[in-house]
Order: sequence, then structure tokens, then C-alpha cells
Amino acid sequence: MKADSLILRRFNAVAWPILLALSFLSISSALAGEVTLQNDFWIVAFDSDSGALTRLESKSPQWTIEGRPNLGASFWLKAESADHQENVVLGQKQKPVAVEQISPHQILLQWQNLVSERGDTLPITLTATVSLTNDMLTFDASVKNESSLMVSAVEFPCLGDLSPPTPNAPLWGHHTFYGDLKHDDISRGSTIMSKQSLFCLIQSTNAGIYVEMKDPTQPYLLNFVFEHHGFDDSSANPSRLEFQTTHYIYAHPHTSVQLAPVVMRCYAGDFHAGLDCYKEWRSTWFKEPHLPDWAREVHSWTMIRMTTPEQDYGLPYTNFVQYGREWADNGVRAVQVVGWNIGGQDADDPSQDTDPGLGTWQQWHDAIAQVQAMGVKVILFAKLNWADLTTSWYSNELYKYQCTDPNGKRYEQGGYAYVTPTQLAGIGLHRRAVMDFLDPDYQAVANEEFQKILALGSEGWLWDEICHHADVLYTWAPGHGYTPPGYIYRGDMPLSAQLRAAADKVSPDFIFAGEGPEDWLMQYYPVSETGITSVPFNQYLDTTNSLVLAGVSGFDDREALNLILMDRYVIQYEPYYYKGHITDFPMTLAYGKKIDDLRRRYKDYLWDGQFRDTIGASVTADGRFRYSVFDAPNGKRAVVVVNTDSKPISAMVNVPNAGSLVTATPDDPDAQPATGAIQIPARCAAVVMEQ
Amino acid sequence: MKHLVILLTIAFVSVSGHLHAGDVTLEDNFLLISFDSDSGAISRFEDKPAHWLVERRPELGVSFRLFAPLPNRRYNPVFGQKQHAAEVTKVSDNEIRLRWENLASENGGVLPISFAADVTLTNRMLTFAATLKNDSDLTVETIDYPYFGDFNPPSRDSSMSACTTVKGQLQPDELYPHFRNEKGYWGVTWPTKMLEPQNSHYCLIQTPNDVLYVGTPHRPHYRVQYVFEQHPGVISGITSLVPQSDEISGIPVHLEFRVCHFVFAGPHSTTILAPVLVKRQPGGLRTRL
Repeated sequence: MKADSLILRRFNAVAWPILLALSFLSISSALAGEVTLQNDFWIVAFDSDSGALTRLESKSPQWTIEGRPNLGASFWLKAESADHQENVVLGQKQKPVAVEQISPHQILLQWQNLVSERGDTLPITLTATVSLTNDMLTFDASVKNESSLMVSAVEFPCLGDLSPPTPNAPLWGHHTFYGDLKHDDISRGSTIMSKQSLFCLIQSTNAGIYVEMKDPTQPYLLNFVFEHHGFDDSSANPSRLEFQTTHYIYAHPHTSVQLAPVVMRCYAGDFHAGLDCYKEWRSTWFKEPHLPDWAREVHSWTMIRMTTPEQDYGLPYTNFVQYGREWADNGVRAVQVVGWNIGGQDADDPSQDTDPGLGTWQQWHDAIAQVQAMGVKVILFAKLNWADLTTSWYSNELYKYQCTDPNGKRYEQGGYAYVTPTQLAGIGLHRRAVMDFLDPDYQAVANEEFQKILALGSEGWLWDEICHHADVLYTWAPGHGYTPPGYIYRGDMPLSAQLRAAADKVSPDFIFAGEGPEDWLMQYYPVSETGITSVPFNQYLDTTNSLVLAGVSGFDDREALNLILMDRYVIQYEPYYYKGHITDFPMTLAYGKKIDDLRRRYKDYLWDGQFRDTIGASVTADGRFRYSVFDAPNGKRAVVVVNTDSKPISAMVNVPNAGSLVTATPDDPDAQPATGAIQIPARCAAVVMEQ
Repeated sequence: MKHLVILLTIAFVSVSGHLHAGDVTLEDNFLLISFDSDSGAISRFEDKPAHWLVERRPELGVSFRLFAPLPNRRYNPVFGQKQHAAEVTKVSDNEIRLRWENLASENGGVLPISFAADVTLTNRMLTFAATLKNDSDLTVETIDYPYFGDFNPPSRDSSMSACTTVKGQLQPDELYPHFRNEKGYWGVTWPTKMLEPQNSHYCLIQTPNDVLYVGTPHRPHYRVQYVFEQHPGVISGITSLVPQSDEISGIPVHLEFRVCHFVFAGPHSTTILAPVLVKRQPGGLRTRL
């Protein structure tokens, strides 16, 4: 052992300088063969021999993002035969036919006749253009597939050595889903999917990189992939974080596919600056949906369930009016009604027939009309994603429209548990097949079922689970009107557009709500039900043209209501988890009314103002607190401070360059002159407003 | 008739010993349990050395609950509170026999089902042994027994948690002062926990000074869950704090605790439930179980 150790030390003493010298020579060589673009914001370089991205540097903020040229990468591609045999192409083993600067701000890269790991030469061409426009670095690419294989996935661009701005600084991956901004430590690997977020933020301490899939139509799945490879003590396989965007294009033999451009922007600051990049791009394509006038006023919702798959029939149609009176008496403006349709909540989907156990169609129609006549909008909960496997409709017809995997097997969603110990223990749930939204025949079914909702005369609907398709990404089911596989999320917007068109024939004011719709779906579903999230993403993007609902179920739930005020949610009263009367929790109801009264009184700030999260003011306090900032249309600011501690706190609100300040609270809504120093009792909130 | 009433009253008082007139009680130096003689509900349960009045308010007492789905309607519970017990008898110093017959279900009328329980107090340990005789055409899927309708912590400023084994480790789950709902809120009406021990057959109710063991003598041949339900809910969905009062907005605040037996007893069958043992565990969690 000692001898081995000695040999190793001698080897290290002699070999390391040689290895370092060789390494230096190889790097110098790589640098010598670089093709480089740069402007005031970026430096990006590619190895002329391999096309690998060898250098990526942001000038402002200063960040050497890809620092070790020898770890540079170009692309990765996977082709599949008809029997799903995989044939992988590694970019580093290909010789490009072009790595050239074609304009002062563009580089062209091209690889042809790719040699796969199985030794086949595939007549596939990957062409890429890398462009610099101000702070935007854009990677465009196309695949020309003249082979007999299907090109299922392409990774491009690839960063072989994603580095933090300073050694050991943290790297977080942010992305949006369900009205929130989620984040993960990406240093050991992570994947963000475009089915949830069109962008990811690579966030470090005081800077970040915004990476965007520049196509808001969901043409295919793109993954933002972070992979850790290697070891700290290995020179042959050094520790590194790789980052690439994986395009699941499924390019059929003898076809060409244009990849969605990938845009990178580097920014200084925290995730808000990254969100501002997205907000800027979003403004170029996002079509604001129509929001009826009543929904633009300060108001609250409630929620009630009628029955479940366990057939408890808790609220018959004819009893609905009695509830309606309570809601109207308490100023509630809309009610989301769950489990009104046949089978109850989460059974018999996608049928939107009424349930005989609850009453007749006419009874339900009339009850809706009566409640709406009291001023309470009825919003019918429904799901069109699934087909309940227990129904004869599924067995006789709907199975034709279901999604299947590459082996022809049905995908399933597991169902949900209700009421009885048996179901709550997960026994006997109604499992569901996943319907293919790309299938025109299923679109027709969905449209027909939606017509049943419209016929009932409600003022809106809420599509629950609009935000996902269970485990399905692609479906291989044949006979659905296209050559599989189909990317199921690509069907979301076309189907939504069809339903919107159908509703518009009844009334443009018929409101579309959804459960946490992805941001692009907010073009059709301006009401999103997410509950309270950690970062109110929707409100930050556009506060006044959409509504985000947050449920309140506690019996004296000041904590939830204060956060609802702070983050500009709409109150949705849910006593007994939406199985009770709104008068069952009078303390919650009373404080909710105070919150809405305060919002009415200071509407310019708290309702019509733009929600800025924590941007634009700062707060300090001697206890735990949270705060948010609103910019009123006249430019004046308001700060909502919530005491989240169990004791009273003294807080200091600093609004830069503020004029005179006043303060008010839900419990004491008359504005009082303020200096910014405020006392906030436990379980309370205060608003400081610029005059 | 008058003499008979007096005699019955004297007999009743001598059986119950103390507490409510309608209670039938078992006790030793460590535990006390009472049952309402009309409904068979547990009306009082006390851990004497710890001065812990576990089941406090008789009006919230529950006897049992079962579910017998109908062919055309699955929701068909039988609530013990709505039944009159056919028998609540103290058959010896340490044993009470309870029996309910011809159970009135919520949606299927009166069912020819009887449920009988023998509760014994021996060596500081309560045993709830029960038998279901199902003469109906329905399947009885689940039986909740024993069923505590008002399961209290030792005091308002105390704490309480339930511990079950998960991956070989005792996993505590707070019951008080915070109670987090652990089932999908869409499926329940109250914050609920359904604990299912892995590779064991008990649930420990832990307080700062005491532990109650609730379990079966061995792993039963069917599924058993230990279910907690916080009524009417919590103060806030953010904090999950339980109201520290007997009522909130005029609604009783109480924690229900029941042992749910997934028996799936077919039509015209008799099922002996796994006995449920309840005992003090002095010395806390370190004591050999």
C-alpha cells in the first residue's frame, strides 16, 4: 500500500504539470478555433471544429456562464425506428459542415449525415442560427429528417458547464405552475417542462438567466434540463452542471421541423427581474380575454357541492335556492357549484347531464335562474379531460378517443376519494381514461357536453383540472385524425377556443374559470382557482384583467383573509370544505366582508392597482410579517403589511420618495395620517397609502 | 310500577356507581370508562393517574358507525347515535356487554344487522371485542368501533399527537393544538387523518406526560385504520390551530377518534372483529410495546 501511494505521489508530481500543459494547449487551440459573437450584453463562442458552445458570458451583469471550453457541447439527438429502437447521435462526435459568422450578430451552424452510436450514418441535417439582439441571445434550429427513422428529441442549445456568477453561489431553477413560481435547487439536477412554464429562471444571488421557449402555442414539449455530472476530484470527468433544452419534436421520416427558438436574457436582481422578461415577451402575444363588468368590481365567491360518486346527494337541486338567499344576503357575488352533474364530483366524466338523484333538469335550470336573479352568478364546475371507466358510455364509445402509450396501452388517472371510509382509503375509486384533445371526434364530444352547461343558463363554468392531463404527454393512439404521437397539451388552446366561441353565441359575459390554468390558457380562462400561493404569479403579470380565487375554510380565518388582501386574491368562502352554509362560520364571513369593504374604499390601490409583490417599497419589523406593494393607476403606491407573528409587531414601511402617507386597516378603515411607522396587532393587516 | 322504578333506579345507581344516571361504568385504579345505557355511546373515559379526562362531554358520545352500501346508492351509513341499544349490561365487575339490533340506516331503512360488543377492563387494559351479524342482503364494508366522539388532550394548554409506525419508525402526527387535514379536502367535511400503521398494529396517543396505546393484539386479517376528525374545523387553514374552546360560533369543538375495520362482511354472514385494546403506557414511547 505504501509503495502504491509513493508511486501515485511520484506520478502526480511528474504527470500533473504535463497534463495541465496539454490541457492548456488544447484550450488555447479551442480558443484559436472559435467563432465568436459579442455585443454590449453577451459574448458567445463556438468551436469551429465541433460547433460546441465553448464560451458564454454576460457582460451586464458580469457572469461567466460557460467558462471551460473543453466542457463545451453542441447537441444531442435521438432517432427511433418504427419498433421504438433508439438510435442516439452525440453532437461531440459529429463534424459540422458550417460554423460561420453570417452577419455581425449571427452565427450559422450545421451538421449533416449524422453518425449514430450504433454506427449508422443518418441522412439528417441539423441547422442552427444563433443571434444576438440587444440583451437577447436566440437559438433557432431546424431538423431536416431524410431518414426512415423518426427523430423524437433534439437537445439544443447545450451548455456543458453552467457555472454560477461567483464560485459556490447558489443556483435555483424557477418556473411557473398553478399560479405560483416554484423553485428548486438545480445544482444536483432538475427538469422544468414547458407544459407548465414557457420559461425557466436560472437564479443566483443577485443575478439570473431567463430562458424562454419562444412559442406560446404549445407546439411540442420542451424540457429545460439540468444535469449534474462528474466528480470534484476527477480531471477526466470533472464535476459540472450541464443545461440543455430538449425539444420533443417527433419529426417523422422525410419531414422537416422548425424548432421553437430558445431565448436567453441575463438580468440583475432577483426573480422579479426574470418575471419582467417574461412579462415583456408575453405582452407581444397574450390576448386579453373578456372579463364581465361584475367581475371587475370588488366581490367574493363561495363554493358548494351537491353530490359525490358515493351518491350522498347532500344538496338536492330544489334546496339550492335556500343557499342562494344566504349568499345574496351576505353580498356574495358568485357561487362555484360542484357535483351538480351526473354521478357527482369526479364521476361519469365527461357527461354534463343532470343527476336524477338530485332532481330534474328543469328543477336545476330553474334553481340556477332563481339564484342568479338574486344577484349571485352561478358557475358550474365541470371536467372534460377524462372518461369515467365505470360508465357504459366509456365502454361503448369514449374508449375510441382515449390516449394510449407507445405499446397501445391506455393511460389512466386514478380518480379521487369521497365521503365513505372505503373511498377515503382509496378503494373503489372511479378511475378515468385520458381523453385526447387533439382528436376532432373527441373535440365534438366535448363541445356537445359543453352545450349542456350553456343550456342550463348559468353565467359561467369552471373547468377543474384544466391544468393537466395526468401522466400523458404524448399519445400514440391511432385513428385520431393525425399521425401519432400527438402532444396532448397542444390540444388545450384549440379546444378552449371552440368552447369560447360556443359560449360567445350565448353571451360574451359567460365567464370561463379554470383550476390553475397555465398562463397561456389564461387567454381563455381569466378566472384561476389556485388558492394562496407563495408567489402570486398571475397577479404580478396582470392584476386587473384576471381573477385568482383563494378558498377560505377556517372558522375564524383572519390569517388566510389577510394574505388574500395582501396578494389580491378573490375570497372564495368554503365552510366545511365547501359542504356547508356560509353562515356556519360567521367570524370568517365578517372579517372577509371587512377585507372587501376596505378594498372597495381604497379600490384604486388595492383592487385596480397593479400588484408588484415586494417591489417598490421595503418594510422592517420587530416580528414576523409579509408585505406587498400596489401601484395605483395615478402612480401612488400602497403597501399592505400582514402580521404573521403571534404577537403585536411594530413595522416601518419605507416607500421611496413618498408623499404624505395614511394608514388604514380592515378593522379600522378610516385613513389616519401616518409616518410609515405602524403598530399591527396579531392576526391583523394594515395598509399604508401614498396620498 | 312505582316500586319498580325505584328498584330500577337503585339498581342503576349501583351499577354506574357515579357519573350520569344513565351511564354504565367500568373502572379500576387506572382507567374509567362509561357508556350511555340508552345509546351505548362512550360517555366518559378517564386516565386516572394522569388526571386526563379523555372523553369528556357525554352529549358528544358515539357508539359505532358502519357503512352498508345499497345496490343503487352507495351512501348508506348506520350512525350509532341514531340507534337504541338493545342491551347495555354490566355483566361482571370488569365487563360490559352492548348490543344493537335491527339497525336503522340512513337510506336503506331498517336492516337485519346486529352488532354486539364486550368491553372488559382487565389488568389496566380495556378490550373492545365485537361481533357483527349481518342477516341483510347487503355487504357491510366498514365498521368504526370503538368510537370516541370527544377525544380531548389533557388540558387546553397541553399537546397531543398520534404515533404510528412508518418505515419502521414511530411517526408522530400532531393532533393538538394544531390539526392539519391529511385527506383531500374535496372528499371530507372536516380536517381528517386516517393513520394506517405499517408493519405494526397499533397507534399511540402521546401527550407530554402520558401515552395511550390503541391497537389490536395482532395484525388483523383485514385493513384497520385509526381515524381522527377535527370538528367543526380549525381556526385558520394557514395555521391549522384548533379552537381552544368548547364551541366556536355556537358549534361544538371536538375531536373524533375511531378505529375503522374494513371487514367487507358479505350478506348473511357473521364477522368477529379484531379486538381493540386500549391501555395506558406509563413511561411513554420508550416502553416495550
